[in-house]
Amino acid sequence: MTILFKIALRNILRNKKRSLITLSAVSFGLGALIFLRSFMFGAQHQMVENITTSLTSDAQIVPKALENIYNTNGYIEDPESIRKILRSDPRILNFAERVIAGGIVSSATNSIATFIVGFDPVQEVAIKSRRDVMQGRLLTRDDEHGAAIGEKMRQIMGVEIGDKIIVTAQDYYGALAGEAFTLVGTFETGNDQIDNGTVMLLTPTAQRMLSLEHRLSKFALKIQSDQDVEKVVNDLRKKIQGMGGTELKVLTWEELIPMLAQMIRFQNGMLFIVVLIVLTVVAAGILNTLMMSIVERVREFGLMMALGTKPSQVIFLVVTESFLLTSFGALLGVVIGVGVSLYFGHYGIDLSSFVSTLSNFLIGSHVYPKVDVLYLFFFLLVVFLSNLMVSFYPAWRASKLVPIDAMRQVG
Amino acid sequence: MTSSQISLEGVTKIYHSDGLPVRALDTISLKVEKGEFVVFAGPSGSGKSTLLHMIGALDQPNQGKVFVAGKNLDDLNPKQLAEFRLRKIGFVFQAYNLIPVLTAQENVEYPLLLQDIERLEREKRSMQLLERVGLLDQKNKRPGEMSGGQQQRVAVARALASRPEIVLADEPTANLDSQTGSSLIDLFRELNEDFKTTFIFASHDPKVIERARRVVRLLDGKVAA
Repeated sequence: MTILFKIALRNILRNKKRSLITLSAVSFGLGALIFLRSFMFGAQHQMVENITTSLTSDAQIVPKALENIYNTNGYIEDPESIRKILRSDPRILNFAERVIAGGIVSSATNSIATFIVGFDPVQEVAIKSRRDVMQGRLLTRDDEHGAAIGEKMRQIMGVEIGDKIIVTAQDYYGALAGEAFTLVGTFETGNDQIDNGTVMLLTPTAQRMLSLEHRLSKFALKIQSDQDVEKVVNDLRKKIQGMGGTELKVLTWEELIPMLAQMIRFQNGMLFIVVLIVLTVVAAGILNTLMMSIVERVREFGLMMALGTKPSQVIFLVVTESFLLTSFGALLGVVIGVGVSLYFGHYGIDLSSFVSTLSNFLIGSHVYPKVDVLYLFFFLLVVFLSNLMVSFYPAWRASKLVPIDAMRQVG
Repeated sequence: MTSSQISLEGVTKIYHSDGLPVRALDTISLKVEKGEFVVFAGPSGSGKSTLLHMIGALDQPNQGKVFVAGKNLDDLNPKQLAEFRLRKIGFVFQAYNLIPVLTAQENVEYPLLLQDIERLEREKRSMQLLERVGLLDQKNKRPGEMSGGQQQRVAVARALASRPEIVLADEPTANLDSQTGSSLIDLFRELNEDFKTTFIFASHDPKVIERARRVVRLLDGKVAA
């Protein structure tokens, strides 16, 4: 068989120009797929990162009534036992405690329906929450009477840093509660719903104002590895179920924002259509090259068979030629695809002229491609399989040649 | 079944040339015994080459039977025919004899490689034969770098390398100068006597014909009287 391998290799080198064209089709196709996947993977990673840091974190523990992130009914009655569970799991890096309620924010001239979010600045830093300060500063643990709102909301309300705003809401027992706060800063997340209608207070302040005592609305979790989220959440569910008390839910970011998860799945599905198209073109290129090279070499195959080369060995020869072409092309394709992905992964691709603020919230102005090794091997597998499959037809044709007829051909 | 090494019984082969049937072989019956040194002589178009192809299992008759080395070639499938050609027959064709991407030495060793003969033995045989045909210094050249005569001699070396029972050669001296041609015939005679290898040539070269032990004259697809 080594002699057939040698013949296959030399046949590829014999028509260098044609082999090079075929090889570049394979490498360009594969390289493009690898880069496309890296681009998508990077963008998706950024989307998830942005959503989790600005809104959901990796997972949350919420009362059953609070499954929807914008719903504000229901509280965690016994946060201390949850804290103990969270601290005992080393896979949970950090967690932040939040209070969420619905209310109204009023200035001298304007009133707006709003979410009231009570948070702990130190804990939020620990779970890597992202808030871009637009004016003033972020709240610190000392700002017992301070508040922060979205920059857009500030503009609507017509207030300035240092002004007083009045926050009114229903407390735990259903009574109306209200308090004045000093505006210390404004923020922007890129998410209009947050930027137009959220007032941020310190957790103890919100608890006092709403008569919650020690109660909380949710725990936001930072989990060590993205791959562990599902497992950690499942373990937490088991532990919390055994606790009794208020019925609580543990939700991953995917469950909190199902639309994003669906979008990612949809994009991945679209990619398969692109893969199918690209690989069909690549396979057609291989088929064309092999067919041409076989028509040119009819006499040669005739001679080889006359000398005692078996039909199966002829098939082996042609399939090996396809395999070698594909291998060289694939190697080059991986180098190109990974190379381009790494380059842009470092420098980023500027999309600022295409994206609006909403998508800015999702991706940001720059996309940083990220090589997806799993897909890379998947693409390689499919390229090899499809090219080997198409090479069987010309191989079979060559093996069916009648030696004496083939040798008589003028070519 | 017959005891002759080669036995043709009423072999007829009809080709279609421009839609018209041409009788290349017309009910030929012929026996060749092991160790014979035969020339099929006749003008071009007399059926010499076709007859060689029948014996070498490269072509099938429309009528009649071909027995070679105890086998009815009609009973063999393409894989068995390939095996038969590989083990029993050494071919020298009229033209286009060599695999273009292989060197002279690799071409000589090709049938040995298909037979899985080990490297040292392959090299020993190919070197000996290339020396014998005067091409040892050309062993690393590819067919495209050699003259027609040199290619023909490489093909002879290849046909002999696997030590077949039967060597079939179609105009083996056609591209050679008379001295080389005659030294090739010497080599064939020697192998014929030493190993009882059967040699069958198709030729109209008088120098080949005069050295044959048996001459079968063909005319219009028939054995001439």
